[in-house]
Amino acid sequence: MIEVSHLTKRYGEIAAVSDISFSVKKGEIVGLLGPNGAGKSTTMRILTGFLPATGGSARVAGFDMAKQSLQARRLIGYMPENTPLYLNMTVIKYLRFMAALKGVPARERAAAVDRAMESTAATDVAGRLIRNLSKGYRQRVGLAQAIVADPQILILDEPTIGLDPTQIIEIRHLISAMANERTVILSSHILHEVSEICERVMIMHRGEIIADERTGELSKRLQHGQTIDLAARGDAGAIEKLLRGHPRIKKVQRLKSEAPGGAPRFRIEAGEEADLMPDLARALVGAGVDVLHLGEHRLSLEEIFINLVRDQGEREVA
Amino acid sequence: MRATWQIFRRELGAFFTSPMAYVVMTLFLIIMGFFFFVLTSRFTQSFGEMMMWAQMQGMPPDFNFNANEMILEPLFYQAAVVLLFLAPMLTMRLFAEENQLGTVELLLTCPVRDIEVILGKFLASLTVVAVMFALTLVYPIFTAYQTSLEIGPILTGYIGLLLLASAFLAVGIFYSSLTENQIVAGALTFATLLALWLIAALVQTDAVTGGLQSFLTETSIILRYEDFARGVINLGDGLYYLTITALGLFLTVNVLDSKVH
Repeated sequence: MIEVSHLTKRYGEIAAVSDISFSVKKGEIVGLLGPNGAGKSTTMRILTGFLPATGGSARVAGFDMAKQSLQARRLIGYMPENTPLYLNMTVIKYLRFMAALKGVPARERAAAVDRAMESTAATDVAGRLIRNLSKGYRQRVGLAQAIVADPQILILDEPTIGLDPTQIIEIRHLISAMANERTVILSSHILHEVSEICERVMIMHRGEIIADERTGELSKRLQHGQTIDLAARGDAGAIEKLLRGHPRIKKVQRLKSEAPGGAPRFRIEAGEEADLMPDLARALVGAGVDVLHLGEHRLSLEEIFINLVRDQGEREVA
Repeated sequence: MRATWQIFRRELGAFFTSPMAYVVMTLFLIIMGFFFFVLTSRFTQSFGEMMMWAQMQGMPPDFNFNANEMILEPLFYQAAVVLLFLAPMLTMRLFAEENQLGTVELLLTCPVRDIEVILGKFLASLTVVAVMFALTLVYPIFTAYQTSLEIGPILTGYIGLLLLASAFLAVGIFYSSLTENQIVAGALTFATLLALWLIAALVQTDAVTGGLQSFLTETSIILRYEDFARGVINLGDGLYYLTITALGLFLTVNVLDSKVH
């Protein structure tokens, strides 16, 4: 459905996107993940035909965005970052206007708008001025305009940014519901969010895609084995020595923060996939250490990201 | 042109649901009303003086007194000048607001051509101006009720005003597309139009002569209007305004094409 090959976008000397390639199959839901300035929005803007690429090509449903953008744009529903809307229009007038621009025939327009408002739960604000809506409702209106012409492809740039936790969950549910049958690309800088909605995640950093995986496999691959958090009462130096001496432990890190009562905390990386915890617990108790906490550590996006960037750095050096 | 119609409707709605159209129209009508009052007073005063003079001389009064020339021609000319001040206010919002809100991104990613969007906005602003001009029809109607009037020069006066307005608005739309600041868009438009007007003043001095003088005369945006006000349709003048209009809209297409954020 979407074919991107060697896509590059430069602003003068700076490459916002440099030489990225990926493809998205029909019906796939892909999360584009990365920090601010990674090139997510630029990539989306090229895919929606708003920005021309400097090099490479982007094809949407077989149409080259450089030459047949008009045909491709018919198939795309887009919600830009920060959900720009005409503040002085009522929701229903705005959606009718967008439906008309997207080529929904006059006869079907009212029904299409009703359907879009229904599936985004925006019907109860239909007659209100967009200016007076809360951020959560504005987001729904933004989603409603994206789906009003029933597009095959949805491109959503940071659909949950700036919302409160309840609204985030609502919008997430809406997106999951809207996604059926459609090809979706959404961007976010929250891994948790992406892993909940998307089946596949691409991580961008400095204009490059540094990971492209099934959602579940990403953290597994990057962890290079188990990571364990430990808090234990006792002499910190002795515990650290004990840990470092353990044959199955690859790396030990003493954390700056302490557990209640001044107990030291450690982050331990095992060099293997197999569960190290029972073995470790026995060793610690055997040495007379009081174990306060022992548990598996799941990588956050930040850590995954740091790992990826480090891996890439190592690869470049090698 | 489906999209043009949609954009046209939305923009026209935006003009009349915000104070801007009303402010501009009211200002225009107040200023025009003032000029009409002054011109009409002067006309009736001269007319009275002439009647008295004829009576004293024992001569039949000369009725070759022309309201077209004395009232409407200067009035049209003033309308052109006033429009130069007001047109930037009408166009400054058109793209600058979209740029500022970010809605331009949604607009341009819809399956519509840039030129359709631009034409919709252009025609909406031209319609506001046309409505404004239509309200000034009371002046010729009132004058015709009091004295004899030729229809021709009035018709050409209005045709000329619409052509002139097109040029002003196209320049304004171009500047509006360049910035997200409405004030900047308005100020640049005004400065450009003013420069094109003030060329006329330069032409009347000794500073420019020969080829340059005739070139500047040709390019002065207000001097070009004089013939229309006088009742003459000059193909060159019409083409001049249409060229500026086309240039403004064409440059706007280029700006939208190369939008870089």
